[in-house]
Amino acid sequence: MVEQLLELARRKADAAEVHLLETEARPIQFENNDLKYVNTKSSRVLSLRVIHQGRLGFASTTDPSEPERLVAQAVESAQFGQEARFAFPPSAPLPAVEVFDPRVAEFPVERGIQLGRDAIARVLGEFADVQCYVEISRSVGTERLVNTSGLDVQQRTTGFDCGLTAVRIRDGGILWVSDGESSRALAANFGRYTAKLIADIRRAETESPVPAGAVPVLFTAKAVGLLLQFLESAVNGKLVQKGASPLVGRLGDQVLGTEITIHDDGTRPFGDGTAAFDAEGVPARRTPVFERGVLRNYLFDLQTAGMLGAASTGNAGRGFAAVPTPEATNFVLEPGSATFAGLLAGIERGLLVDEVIGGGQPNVLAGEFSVNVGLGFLVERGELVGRVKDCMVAGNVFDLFKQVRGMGDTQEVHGPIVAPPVCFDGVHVAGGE
Amino acid sequence: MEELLKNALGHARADYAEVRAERRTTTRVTYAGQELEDISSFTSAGGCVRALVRGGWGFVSFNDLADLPRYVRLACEQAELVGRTKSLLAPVPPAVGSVAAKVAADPRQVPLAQKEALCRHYNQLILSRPRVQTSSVRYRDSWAETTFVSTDGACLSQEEVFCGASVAAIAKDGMNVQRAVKSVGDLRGYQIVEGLDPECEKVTERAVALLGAEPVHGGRYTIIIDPALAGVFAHEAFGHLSEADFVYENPPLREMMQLGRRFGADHLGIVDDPTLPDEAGSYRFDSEGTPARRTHLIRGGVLTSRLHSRETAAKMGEEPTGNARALNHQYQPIVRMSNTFIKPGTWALDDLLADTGEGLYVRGTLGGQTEMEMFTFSAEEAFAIRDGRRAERLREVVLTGNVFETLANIDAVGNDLEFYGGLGGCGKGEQSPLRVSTGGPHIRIRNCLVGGR
Repeated sequence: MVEQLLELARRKADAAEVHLLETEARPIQFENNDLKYVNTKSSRVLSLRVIHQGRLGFASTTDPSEPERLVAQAVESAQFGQEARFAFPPSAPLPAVEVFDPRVAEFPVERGIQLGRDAIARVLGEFADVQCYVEISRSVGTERLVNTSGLDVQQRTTGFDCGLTAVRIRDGGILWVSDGESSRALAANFGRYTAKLIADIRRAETESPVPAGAVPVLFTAKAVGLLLQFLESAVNGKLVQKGASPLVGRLGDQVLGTEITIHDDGTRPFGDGTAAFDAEGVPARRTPVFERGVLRNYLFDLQTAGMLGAASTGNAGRGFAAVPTPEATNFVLEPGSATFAGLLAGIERGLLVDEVIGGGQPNVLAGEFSVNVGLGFLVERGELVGRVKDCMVAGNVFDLFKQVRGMGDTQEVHGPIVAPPVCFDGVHVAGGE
Repeated sequence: MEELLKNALGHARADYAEVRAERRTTTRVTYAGQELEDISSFTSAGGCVRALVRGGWGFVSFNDLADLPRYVRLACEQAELVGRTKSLLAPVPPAVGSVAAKVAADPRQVPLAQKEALCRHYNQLILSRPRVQTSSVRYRDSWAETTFVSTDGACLSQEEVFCGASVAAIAKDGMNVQRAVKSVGDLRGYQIVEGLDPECEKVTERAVALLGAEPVHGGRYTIIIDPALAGVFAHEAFGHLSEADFVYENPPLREMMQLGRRFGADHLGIVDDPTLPDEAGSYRFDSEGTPARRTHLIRGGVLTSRLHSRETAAKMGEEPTGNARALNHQYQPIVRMSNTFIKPGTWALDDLLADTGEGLYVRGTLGGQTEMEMFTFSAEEAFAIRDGRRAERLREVVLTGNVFETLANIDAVGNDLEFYGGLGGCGKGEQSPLRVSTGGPHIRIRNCLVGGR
């Protein structure tokens, strides 16, 4: 169907690109400590992008039976489309990347069910009054991309997502803790998330007062992800091209502290965002974004790069049935030299923040954040005292990353974000009495 | 189509099974800054089978109907792996017939060129203003036909036509970047995306004005929230807790959400109503074929009902409410809201401001997140209230709190009522955005925590 569609499109448009993505996922869901659903979800999306008379057109479908209609739709949209500032790329050598784990492809449903049952039994063995939710899903995807410049590439990928959530209601208050991972490889040790949740639930049994004002705050590797998303938007080629990013025109400038080195790494073995080629067929690579705090690169797809006279960094992504747009692959913050215990020990009075509630931040582009602390603990004289509730932390990501107090020496992977724990000075806390 | 689905279900080895087949066509136009980022159409055709065996569910979604008998078998086998107890579904009269969409101006009859021209016009209007850095204008329409057949005798076709648009302005001054957005969208037709010039002016003015606003100081405030934010609060903070799938198999949560529990003062009422004509969350039958109906979640400050699927209703011994909705054929129906709103009271806004004296007047929301009883909302705009009047503009206002404490802290309810649909929608599980609307009057909340420095 791909070849036939490309041939049809070639006759009606000056240039064309066909993308086919087929996936099959098998999610298993446990709710309230019991198995609830076993699902099979297969989907297929066929997308056509054309360049006709210098303009871009696009259409997509799950139904390959009407290729003429798809071509007509794409060509019609090219009447109005944006001026194309690139040509579809020819073949280029692709890096050897690890994106397919046969253990995931062959992972039996029964084993997923067992993993979920074991995890729940372990949590319930410690706390009888907890409700657990588990989701384990494995998927296999086949992606093919061909264009009229002669590109014809294909990749098979696997995905393994596992997550465990525990809810505990005591004295009218609710504790909600969650952890897990998503990767292209089989989760080596699901048990460690179970252990972490058990430790969290136990630590949260004591409640502590909220410290007021600006205090040191240690963000766990998981919580650092929130802050990195702000940096990711600031280097997104689209926001740079629109002039909306505050980092426009700052290439080569010292914009963050010298401790901060971040790569966008599309080649990281089995990373959630790893692929041999991006959504436009550009080979994957490892791009320095910030080196010792100096801004080195923005992340581009072909069109945004073409508009700014730059080259694609292999960062084209595709939402479901959507046009390519720049997005990070794996966003990796290099570790520092402090141990987690050392970071904690250095706090006289402050907070440890592990989970935040704060979707839809008002001013992502400016780096301003203000979030509820979903799971956080008071730290006094280097010791965890108890859980803090009803409190918010606020600050500016660009300011905070200029004055990092310390960075952990061990990274954790949370989906496409890879980071160590980071401790900042002077984070504003509200909610104290 | 109906015969094909019925025949396939004839071989289902399950206590209950259903098939949904769906065809959906979406048209999108997106301007961002000077560029037309996306003008495209997407056709989605496919279906799903859901089977229930001894209380366990198996679900299969697919694109090719040709393999339907195999998918029915697979769904039953998967349900077999899960089921260990007894299948329970509340009885509903089998839905039979067809429901046609009726729109005033049909977006399917509007040429693509006209949709593009409309977006370009709004976009230029926003970009022509000083200090506007960039813009975003989005148009979307979709047309879906769904056929639903179940082993309980349902055989129903439903059609829906949704149309909407959003306009946004982003203003920037050095590291200070502010945005403002307005979104409309419902089942009324193409006419609702026309004539948005005044909305473009408003978002532009607001984004620019926000550049000059002072960040709010963190702390506890008496706040008045507008109908837009009140609606989102009703939906996000409270509404999700009233979805029965959240509590039905969780004894402590069931106790927390026991019918008859008092959540607020006598003036507090919250309703979910999919039968309102043509709102973004309206429908005739849910995705299980249960007829839609109005549900009073809170009446006179007391929890009176909750939202159900057939399964949750049976397991809680309550009546099904027609709130099992699936985003599209890739997903199973889960308990969802429709048009959710706080019922109006008696206060005029001016009296409310005057009576409040000092506090914050908070309008709209840019987004938010809830986790169980805790919620966080980012305000679209906010003002100080001083001497009983709206005073200077503030920015970066993020509200947070515990929903139960907050409902109890609502001490005044306004006499107005507005509904908001739009291109956004509700996210639950992976199913997002599901079309819903939210609404309410102005309300006053005492002692609300606001983040900031």
